[in-house]
Amino acid sequence: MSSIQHFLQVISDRVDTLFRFALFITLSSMIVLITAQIIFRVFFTALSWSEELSRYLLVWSSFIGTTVAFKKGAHIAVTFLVDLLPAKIKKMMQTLSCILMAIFFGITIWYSIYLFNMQSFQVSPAMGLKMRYVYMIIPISFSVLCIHLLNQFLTIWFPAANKEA
Amino acid sequence: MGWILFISLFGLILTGMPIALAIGFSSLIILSMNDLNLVLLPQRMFVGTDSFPMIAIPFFILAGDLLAKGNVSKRLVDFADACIGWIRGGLALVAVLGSMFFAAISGSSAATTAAIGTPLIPEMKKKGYDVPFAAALIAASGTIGVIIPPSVPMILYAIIADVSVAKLFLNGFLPGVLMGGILMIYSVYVAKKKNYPMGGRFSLKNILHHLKIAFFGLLTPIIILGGIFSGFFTPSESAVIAVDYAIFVALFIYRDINLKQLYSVIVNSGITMAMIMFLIATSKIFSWVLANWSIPSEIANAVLSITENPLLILLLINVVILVAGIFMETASALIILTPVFLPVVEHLGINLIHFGIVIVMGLAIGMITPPVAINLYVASSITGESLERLSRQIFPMLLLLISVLLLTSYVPLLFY
Repeated sequence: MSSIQHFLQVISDRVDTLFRFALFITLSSMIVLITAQIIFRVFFTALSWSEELSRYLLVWSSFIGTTVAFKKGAHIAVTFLVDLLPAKIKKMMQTLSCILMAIFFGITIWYSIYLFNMQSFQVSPAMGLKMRYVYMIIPISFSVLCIHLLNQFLTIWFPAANKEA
Repeated sequence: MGWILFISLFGLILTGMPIALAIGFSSLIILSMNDLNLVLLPQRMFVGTDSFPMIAIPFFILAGDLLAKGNVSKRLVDFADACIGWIRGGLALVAVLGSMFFAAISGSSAATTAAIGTPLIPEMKKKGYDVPFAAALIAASGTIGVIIPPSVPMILYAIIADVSVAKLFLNGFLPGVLMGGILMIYSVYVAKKKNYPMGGRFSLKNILHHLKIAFFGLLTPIIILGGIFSGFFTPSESAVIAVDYAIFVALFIYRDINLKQLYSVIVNSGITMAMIMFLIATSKIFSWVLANWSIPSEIANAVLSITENPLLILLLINVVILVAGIFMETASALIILTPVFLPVVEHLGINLIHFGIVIVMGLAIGMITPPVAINLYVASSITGESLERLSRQIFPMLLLLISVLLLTSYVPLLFY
């Protein structure tokens, strides 16, 4: 058990490092892009595609950031009630919420792949970008969420094994 | 459907599941009960985040974080100290005025609390101020962070209610100044009672000296708001300009951030932004469910069947907002409550800008009402004082801020 858990921990950490970097890249590109958009509008002619691209970068950075926030446990949750419960019931509640989240992630991944296949011909209005590549971030980021969730779930049930690793 | 939706939503929140996922899952229950195509899930989440006005959210957060990290808040505090530090209880007044200055840079109340509390609380402790009082006052002043523009919750409300961000921002000033004013009056009262010290003597030279040091910080709101109000920039563009400016000031003028720190500030602001964006994404599924089963208008009819008196309904809404603020933080409560209230508010003919100020202020006050009181957590982690001790000190300030909320609800101090 503990070797699988260790492996998962390593994967989860590596993916997180990568996604932090991706978050930095998408946000920085938006800063550069929108700054350029303003400069072009004021001094030259307005760019036709910058607004669309920056919107898609916002979508990407939002979903990428969601996985980083999930890993960090930063998503806003009401925990004061769960914290009042005895340890055993608390563990049950956490397990329940993990299972429900897994269902939500699974359904989202399944239907986002469906959406990806459905969108094979649609292109974006300004840049002519294939929309399926923009939508692609949803299955990717939700798969990463699954990895982090599984890792978190194992840590709830086998906290000691994790420390050994 | 409405009952199932809300009961499952609150049930899920109580299991400790992140609120964004509880919102998504409760909507999923309704959708699958009615055999709808679940492709709605990814589709609505995509639509939720695919918006140009929303670009203002990450970058107002980032600009505030950059300037707080770069010690701009310390310079603003010093300037405020030169201006009013010479009055009795001077540092308490500086806490409030400093928060008001920083509120004009930052769009978040927790960030304002951290930015002002970190340099100021140790100083207040040294001068003999009661630490729980100092921490509570800074947490209370932090609420002004989302009232004086820019303001992340106001941008959220503007997108949900489809109103102008610039108009909301413009109308945030007066209520923000009122909140600051009433906290200052209370500080003077406490300072007289406890005989807190006054700072150095009043000197114009000193003010000018600190004005020069804090100048680049004080210029930020002028750039941000000037651009928006003149109509020269959209709010999203002006947020990016603020980031460009903050990076420039922190890297080249004050030189208190290096490139490595810049990376970590951007990633951390990205995390804060993603928490809000993920809430927006899943709430887009939720709002589809609300609209499809006409749940908000059902609630509106139920409320209107009890009373048609706008004054009473506004009071009722205020109570709901304050109670929600006790258990939830601003963004999630705003996202859940705004679509529910809008039909009632529109039916009564209440101006949507006015209502926006009221709901944002009510939920901002929720940031200092325990158990879910993020400003208090921030202040308590700066000082190491327990939440209980802060809560006792915060109570009178809470009542004062609620009185400003009621005043703002019933006396529309607005520019349309």
